[in-house]
Amino acid sequence: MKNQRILVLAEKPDAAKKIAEALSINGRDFSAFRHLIEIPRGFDGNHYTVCSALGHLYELSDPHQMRNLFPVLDIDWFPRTVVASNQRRWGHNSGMNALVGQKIKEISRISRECSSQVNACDYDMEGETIGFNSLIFAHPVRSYDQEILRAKFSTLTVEDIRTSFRKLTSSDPKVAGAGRMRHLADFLWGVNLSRALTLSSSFPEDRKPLLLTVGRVQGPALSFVVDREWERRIHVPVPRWQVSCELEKSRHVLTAFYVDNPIRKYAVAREIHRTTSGTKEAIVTRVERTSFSIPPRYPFHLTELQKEAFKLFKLSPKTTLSIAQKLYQKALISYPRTDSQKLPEGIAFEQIFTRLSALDVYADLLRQLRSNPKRRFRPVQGPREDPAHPAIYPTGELPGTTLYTTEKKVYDLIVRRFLNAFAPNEIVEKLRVTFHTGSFDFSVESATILEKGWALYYPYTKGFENFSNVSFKEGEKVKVLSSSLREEYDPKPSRFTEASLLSRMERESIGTKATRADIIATLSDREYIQKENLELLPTAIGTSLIENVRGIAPEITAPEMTRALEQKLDRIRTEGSTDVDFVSEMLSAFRPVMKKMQSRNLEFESKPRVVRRLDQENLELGPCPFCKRGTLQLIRSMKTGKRFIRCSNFEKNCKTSSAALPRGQILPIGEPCPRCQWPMISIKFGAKRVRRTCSNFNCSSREIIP
Amino acid sequence: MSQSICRLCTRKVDVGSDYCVSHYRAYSQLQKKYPEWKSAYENISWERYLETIMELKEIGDLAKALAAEELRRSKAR
Repeated sequence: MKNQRILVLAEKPDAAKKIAEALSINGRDFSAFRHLIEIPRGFDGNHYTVCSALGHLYELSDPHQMRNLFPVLDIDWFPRTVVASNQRRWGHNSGMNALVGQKIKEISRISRECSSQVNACDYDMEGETIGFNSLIFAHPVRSYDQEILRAKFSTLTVEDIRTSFRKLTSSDPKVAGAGRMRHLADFLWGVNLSRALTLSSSFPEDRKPLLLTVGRVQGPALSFVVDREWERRIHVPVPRWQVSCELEKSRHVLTAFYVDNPIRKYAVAREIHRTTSGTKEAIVTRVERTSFSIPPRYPFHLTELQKEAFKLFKLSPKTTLSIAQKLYQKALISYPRTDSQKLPEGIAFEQIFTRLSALDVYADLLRQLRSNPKRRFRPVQGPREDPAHPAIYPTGELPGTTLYTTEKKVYDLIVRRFLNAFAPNEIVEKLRVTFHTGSFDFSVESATILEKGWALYYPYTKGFENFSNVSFKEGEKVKVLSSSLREEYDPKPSRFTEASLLSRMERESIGTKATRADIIATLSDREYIQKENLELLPTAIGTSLIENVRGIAPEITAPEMTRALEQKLDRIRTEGSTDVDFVSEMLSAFRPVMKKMQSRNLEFESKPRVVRRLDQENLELGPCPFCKRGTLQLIRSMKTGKRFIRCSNFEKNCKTSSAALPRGQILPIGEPCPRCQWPMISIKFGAKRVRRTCSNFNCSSREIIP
Repeated sequence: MSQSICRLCTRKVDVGSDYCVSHYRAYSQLQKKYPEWKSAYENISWERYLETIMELKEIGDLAKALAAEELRRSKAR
């Protein structure tokens, strides 16, 4: 192809600029005008017009916009301008409406003037969908796969983009079809379920209805957090015991543990402790040395990068993804939304090393790596594959502008993980010494790094306990200094963090690598979960939502349904199974749920305001200051709907009670009032106004503290 | 007080129980773990078990409330 005019569609303006720089001969020979970038003479002699799509230009919507009706099955794709103007009627404002309209017009005009069209959006299902909709709706073609070409690249470097334009392929309608069906499934489930919940929890006198949303991925994700909290609340600890003894050898004191720790019977633990307490010596019965090698960590896929960034820098998965996206758009790293742990041989690794050496921070590391005779020439590969992209790796491009601190951290993590994949294994020697004392066996373990390997480049691993400077011989005696018996209890199950929830979602195959972080952020934005010292807690409203939905249609909160849907979408993408099959299968799961929601609607509504104020039901505020045994609870009267506070022992003997403010979200603070010892509470009005006060309505200290 | 109200809160009781669904879950957990305590401490009594677990910081709040209620009922008998 030469001297042809070609329309190139990029997903975002930054990517469009990078593509334009790569397609022009010297990186500057292009002009930008009215959201279009013209390259009159590209690197291959063609005339390119590059346009960006601003994400989705077309969205699914309900043409009737009757928000008090569900289920809605009559849906279609509309330009975002139309969807946005409908949303404005409902108080939502989308700032880029005019710009989207202009983009659609420009793409439509240029696509008619051009001889070919190239979809250069991100090479994944979402990119294929954006490209398909933007180009097909702008200028209908007879055959998508033959008339619209696809540029496939994993980095925004000049070499990668030019290579992909030299080897343009036909578009894949199966991937676009799967993407469109995913949007359809999300809309059908998300919009209809949210409408059903919102309507059933609203009352005619409500000025503004309580917006309750739940989707096919949101539901199971929230239920994981809620269920974990339930496990914690009903947790009954069971005891276990650890017996250990302090040993002295060559002036070193070591702690040896009973070989069958933990012990589940107190009598056994006490007997071992009693026997060993009376002994002065232990005999070394076995010295075992085993050496093993630990291979480098696998190259990063998105979820692993998000988990590591959370573990090391406490960055939320959403922040990590957005930083990785920025680094990709600056052509510093490869495409981050990948599931792959493989780095294919086609990547110019040596060239990347040479380029990275120009950065002072990596110069020494790379010198060591390249001079290491045991280095790998082919990087270590993980088991996971992604047909579209390799694992995340640095392109070798140097940051032109200064990176922000968090960007630097994530970039450094990616570079180090990449270098680690070429490093030799860590050779570790494990030493286990077993002692016999008082007719029981105790052991002590240590590990020593014999040969440093990949940990030099990726030093974010746990260290080993080391006592290799003490030598032991079988049969020799060591001094027993003391013996101790420690009682422990099974701890409460840990709360989810954003990283562990992400892992759970991945394990359960719900959501996609690109959407999981957003789902967690949405749960937080909707105030279904809250963060406390990095732990995720369900709010009262989140808990009640799951309990209510589970009572009506448990399949919405279970991962099985959404997992099955993902598998069907995969079948469309890989095997090209038809959209009709998918829709009919989805509707067969969808209809019974909607029927249940409709039939249970009255019961939902009949609960006297409890559903609307889900977040306030029987909230525990703190210990009762009078009976000292009960708990003060915030209760909504089943008869009047009014709130009040009373002791959980009210029905028995404690008559402690108080009125409560009718409005505002009441939360316990966890400290007593200095005057009357009732629990202090915070009352939240709207988004920002918060009062901190005593829960006792008659307390003299009830003054508003901002 | 109607029999259909949970002994520890104002919710309706679960079928065949004195507690609502939430508190019944905690009650089941208390009963499920009792054999493990009996095995650990060689026939610890139900009351002693309840008294002991109530003092532990690892216990969940619903389980603790249930333990207190069950202990009170047990002593009242």
